[in-house]
Amino acid sequence: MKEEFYKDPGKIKCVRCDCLLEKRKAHFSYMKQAFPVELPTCPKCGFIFVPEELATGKVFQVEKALEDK
Amino acid sequence: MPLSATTLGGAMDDTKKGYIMKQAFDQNELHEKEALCTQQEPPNCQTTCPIHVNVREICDEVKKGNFDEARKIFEKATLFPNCIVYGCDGPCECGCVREGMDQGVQIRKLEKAVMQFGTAKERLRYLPKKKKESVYIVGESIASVALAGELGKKGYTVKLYLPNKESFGEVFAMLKQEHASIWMKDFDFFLSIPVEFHWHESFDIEQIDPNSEDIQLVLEKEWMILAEREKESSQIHFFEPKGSLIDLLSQGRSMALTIDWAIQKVTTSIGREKEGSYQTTLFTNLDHIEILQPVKAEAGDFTIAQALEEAKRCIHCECLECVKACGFLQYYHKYPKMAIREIYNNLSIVMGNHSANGFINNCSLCGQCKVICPNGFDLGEVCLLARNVMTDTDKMPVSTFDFALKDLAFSNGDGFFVRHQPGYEMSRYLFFPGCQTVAIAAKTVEEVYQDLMKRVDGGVGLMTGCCGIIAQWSGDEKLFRQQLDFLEQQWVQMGKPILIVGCSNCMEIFQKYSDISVRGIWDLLEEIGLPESTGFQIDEGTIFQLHDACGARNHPEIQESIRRLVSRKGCTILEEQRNGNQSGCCGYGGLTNYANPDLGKKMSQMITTQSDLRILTYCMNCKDQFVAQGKESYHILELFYGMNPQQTVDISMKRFNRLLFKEEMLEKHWNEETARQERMTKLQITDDCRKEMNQRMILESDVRDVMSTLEQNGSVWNEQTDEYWTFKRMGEVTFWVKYRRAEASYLIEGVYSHRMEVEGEG
Repeated sequence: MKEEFYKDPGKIKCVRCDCLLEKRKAHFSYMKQAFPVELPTCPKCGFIFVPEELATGKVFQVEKALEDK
Repeated sequence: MPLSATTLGGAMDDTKKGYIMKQAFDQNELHEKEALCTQQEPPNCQTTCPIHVNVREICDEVKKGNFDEARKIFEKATLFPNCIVYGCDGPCECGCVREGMDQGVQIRKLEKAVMQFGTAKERLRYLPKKKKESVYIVGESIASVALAGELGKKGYTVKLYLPNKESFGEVFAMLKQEHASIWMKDFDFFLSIPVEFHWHESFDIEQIDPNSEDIQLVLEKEWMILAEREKESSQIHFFEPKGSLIDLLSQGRSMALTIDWAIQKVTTSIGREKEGSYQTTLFTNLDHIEILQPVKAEAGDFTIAQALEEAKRCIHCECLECVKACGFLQYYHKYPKMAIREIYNNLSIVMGNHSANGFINNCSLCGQCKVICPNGFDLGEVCLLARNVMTDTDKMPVSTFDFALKDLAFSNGDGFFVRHQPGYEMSRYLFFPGCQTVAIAAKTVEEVYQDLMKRVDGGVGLMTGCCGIIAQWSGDEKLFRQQLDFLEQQWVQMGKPILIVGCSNCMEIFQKYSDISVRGIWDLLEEIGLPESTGFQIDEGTIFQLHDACGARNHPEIQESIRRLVSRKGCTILEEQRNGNQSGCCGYGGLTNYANPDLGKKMSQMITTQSDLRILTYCMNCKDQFVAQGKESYHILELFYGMNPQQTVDISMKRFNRLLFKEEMLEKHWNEETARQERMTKLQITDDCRKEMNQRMILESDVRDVMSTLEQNGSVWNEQTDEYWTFKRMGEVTFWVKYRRAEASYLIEGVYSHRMEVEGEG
């Protein structure tokens, strides 16, 4: 999951903090398994944005694979 | 927390290693169940052939004009293809299923054509690893030669003694001398294997060391006198082949197996029942098989065209009766024997990928296969058992039935209510329309209830909710029992009235698993007569394609009652081939539509494409599934009560309708106040987004919940596209909503979800 598996969503701003999101380290976890990722994050409040392509693509596939383990 | 081994009854619980496993059935049960499905059994032409030539495959290749491949298959089955062509008496032709219809396929002529027109490829020279054991054979028939050939193929050094000058007399009698140059070619093979021929040489038994374990002796017929009878042992074998050429070849092969096993010191008597000629158990449906007269070959042998024509008479015997009827089995390209083995293996995996989970959870559990299978194989029962085990051992993928189970919780939670008829303190009857009946056709349910209140004496109460079948289908037996107990308690509190159900599945659940006394709405309508309806009227004489519900399978009383009512309404029913007990699933049963919407759609289409007629159902789910495919369809209650809603209801509306039904009914009939006004404000959601929500099983109420926490959870904005996103984690799912700001409101354009939790680092 270290690969960059989503398209850059473009310039996204945090509405509350009025600043651009930056790629920051984060991790996904499901069924006691965790995966490091880089996700667009608000540098001030820490809002982490999960883009649709990611949620319905790779994340969905990994969820299914883990559920079938 | 994993369950303990005791509660699972024989489960293997190793919590230290972090796993728990349980099988649904043991190996013996697996084999018993497997034996019911005959699809893997060879066809009768093959089993009646003593050496089991794969005639079906040969015919398949000839049909394609592929004589080379056909010849290869034929030569693979025997060392003596030419002898067979000229000397076999053709028991396979009598075994052919066509024999009872027109005439068995002319297999011998086809085999001859295959040898004639198929290219003779250089036969693979057998270079078996030479074994240290030797076998002496003293014989006189071709069976002994076959025996020598088979053992030679296995790498044994074979010394074949044919002391009698009349050896092969039977063979020569069977094979015409004029073709000797052709059938003698079969003997060329022996040059490539370690077989020594000792023609017309006498054999001295003294040369055999009785103490050597590496020497075996086979004595055929009259040569048995070389040893005393009582001396037959693990070293000395008596061999008495008899019968036609093909029988002799088969017996030679069987003897070779005996010798091989004796050398390996394995028991030689077990597992021999399928040697030689026998009748297959493979079921082949001969209905609708076209009569085709055998092709006449004027010159005696087939031309290529004639061989092709004759091969086409082969119907490629196979069963697949259940597969022909079931969209689920077609989707997975599986038949029950194959499936149960995979299910068994899937449940045996402790660590690793459970690749059959999808298959297990996609079956509609409808029972159609059991009715259709000549041996009553119920794959649904196996899939349900597997789901139970997966749930018990925490191996059930959480997301598969999550939506359906939440829907059940809603039906028997916020959406549930039970009341006596207004003005009554007790009920003779309690109307239970069924969760999806209310979800899909709330107005119809209201009409029915009002009618029952008017026309039935003694008070008719009303109870919404789900019978629990959703939990049962999901494999959660414990939850299923809880739901039933809940409903049973409500029924007791209502004074144990007779439950009038609107759905045959509910009926089966209550009859089978509870003490609740129950009648179908159809049964009551037969007693009190059809209502005087003023609404939509279907033309008298309309012909419907009736779709029998899976809940009514094996309940002729329900199926007949429905037919009588429809006839009373002045309509006619077209009985499709697969109806009544053989009726297929609409795609909703077993929660297929939730686990695999694509398959649900395909199963639905299998029903809707059966005829051009309008469909009539007596299960609201079936009706909804068919309407979703654009097929004009009615539930019997819509027909009787004058309703014509030819539109599908999406999952949000199904949820909303149940809530609205509860609130409206309580206000209107019981004068109770509800909080429904608060929920009436609708979100602005684009049509595309609504479709997406339906596909992704995200409810309007979920979107509303996400938007309600917009301020707390924050949002992000793409200044180029002017799109906003916000989210909310609800239980085990994070929901995201994509929206635009509209005046004093929001326009919802997209929704998606994920189960993974996300956390930032620092």
